[in-house]
Amino acid sequence: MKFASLTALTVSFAAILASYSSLHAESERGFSKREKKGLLETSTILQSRGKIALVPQGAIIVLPKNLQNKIATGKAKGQLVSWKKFLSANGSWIHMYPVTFDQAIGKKTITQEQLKSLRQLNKIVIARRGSNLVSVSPKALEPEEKEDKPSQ
Amino acid sequence: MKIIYTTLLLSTIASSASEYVNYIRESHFITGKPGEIPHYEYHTDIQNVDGAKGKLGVLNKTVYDLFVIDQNDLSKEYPLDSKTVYTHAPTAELSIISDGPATSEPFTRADKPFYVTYTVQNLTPISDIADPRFNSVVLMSETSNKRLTLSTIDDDLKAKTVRYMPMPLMGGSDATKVSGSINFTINENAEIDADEFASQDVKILPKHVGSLSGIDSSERYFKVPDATFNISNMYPGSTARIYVYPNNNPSDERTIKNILANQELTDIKDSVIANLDELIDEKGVWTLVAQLTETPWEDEMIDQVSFTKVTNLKVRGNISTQK
Repeated sequence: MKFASLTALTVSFAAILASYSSLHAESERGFSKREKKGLLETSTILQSRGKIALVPQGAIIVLPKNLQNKIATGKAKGQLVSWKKFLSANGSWIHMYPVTFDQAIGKKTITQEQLKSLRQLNKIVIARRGSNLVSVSPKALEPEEKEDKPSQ
Repeated sequence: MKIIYTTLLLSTIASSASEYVNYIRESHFITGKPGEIPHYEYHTDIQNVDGAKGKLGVLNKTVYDLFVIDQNDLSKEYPLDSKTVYTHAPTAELSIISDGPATSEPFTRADKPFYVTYTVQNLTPISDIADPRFNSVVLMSETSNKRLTLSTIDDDLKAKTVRYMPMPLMGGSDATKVSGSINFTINENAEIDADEFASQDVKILPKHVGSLSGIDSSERYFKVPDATFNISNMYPGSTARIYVYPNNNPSDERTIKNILANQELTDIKDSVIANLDELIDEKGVWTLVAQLTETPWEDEMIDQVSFTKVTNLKVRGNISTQK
């Protein structure tokens, strides 16, 4: 019956009419909803020997010059494989580095000493938190702020 | 950081096929401020499970998105499910009741009202939160060409119902030409990058336009000719009833035919109304009517035409012969 949905309405007409006045308050305004990005838009694509994998943008914290060709630019070609499979096939040039949540969001830094030792590996260093791949805020890679010593 | 226990129920419809790779993207919005680039975390190598219970650290807002991507074509990326967890944010519900048949998507006609019922809870006093944007939300309507802020809600409220007419929300002054969809949302009270807390669409159908033709009201008919009926945008499930009545007794309605619409907008073209004389059994003025019935509203006139039926033709003239 067509009136079925109407009968569900239990609001008094007085209330309806009172609230109807809110239409007069309508106005146009500047407004935009938060846009959701696609997965590829937030990813860096790694490629090697016809296989590709996705990591979050910002997850690569060390990229040696001689391995820059492992980053796909433009349209990536190859078969997308799971991260586990990609890592096991390319472990010779990938190093996974655990970070804390505070480091990932830039609340705490990765020490310059740690970064230096990571660079010496000559591997692409990718941040992880637990078993997840994580982006790292650029703030976490900046040198620690040193306290100013009072001049004598 | 607020620790929230939640169960993510993520469908894995397409992901069961071996040619797809799964990802769950965890997006942490730390400040919640407009333009913020979130911090991303990818869960990879996900097993096909119906649900995963996790302990989540949420600073402001965390969005979980499940994607699958075609192994051989990165452009084939499918977002399958999404869940948002807030630390401090209102909860909102929104439903629309229209006069149309109860379906998953409510609908009504451009000249008829519908009712929006909404609930907003968990609005936090401004002094209690760092981000004052969660102190109020806005109810908005949006069509393809018009967006309106209908109400700013500062206090929790439960099941408030407001009556709306479609045309002021959609624009346009002719109900026979207004159609489309109105999306009602309850959003964060921010001008950019606002989060949406609840959403519901209502479909708006144009009002019908119809006519009777073939009978001239200025004519006197010994034999009433066939009439033709046309109508566009008949309301789903409605009936066009064609009948005739003598003007000296309007309650003597004599139904000629009923034309049924299907469950969508229906157009009837050149429906012939024949053999009127079988029903018109006396001389005088008669009215042929097309009426829309079986709608959620009162019966409505589509078109009508009055005419005069005569039973004897009086011929005035002379016959003369000439030799």
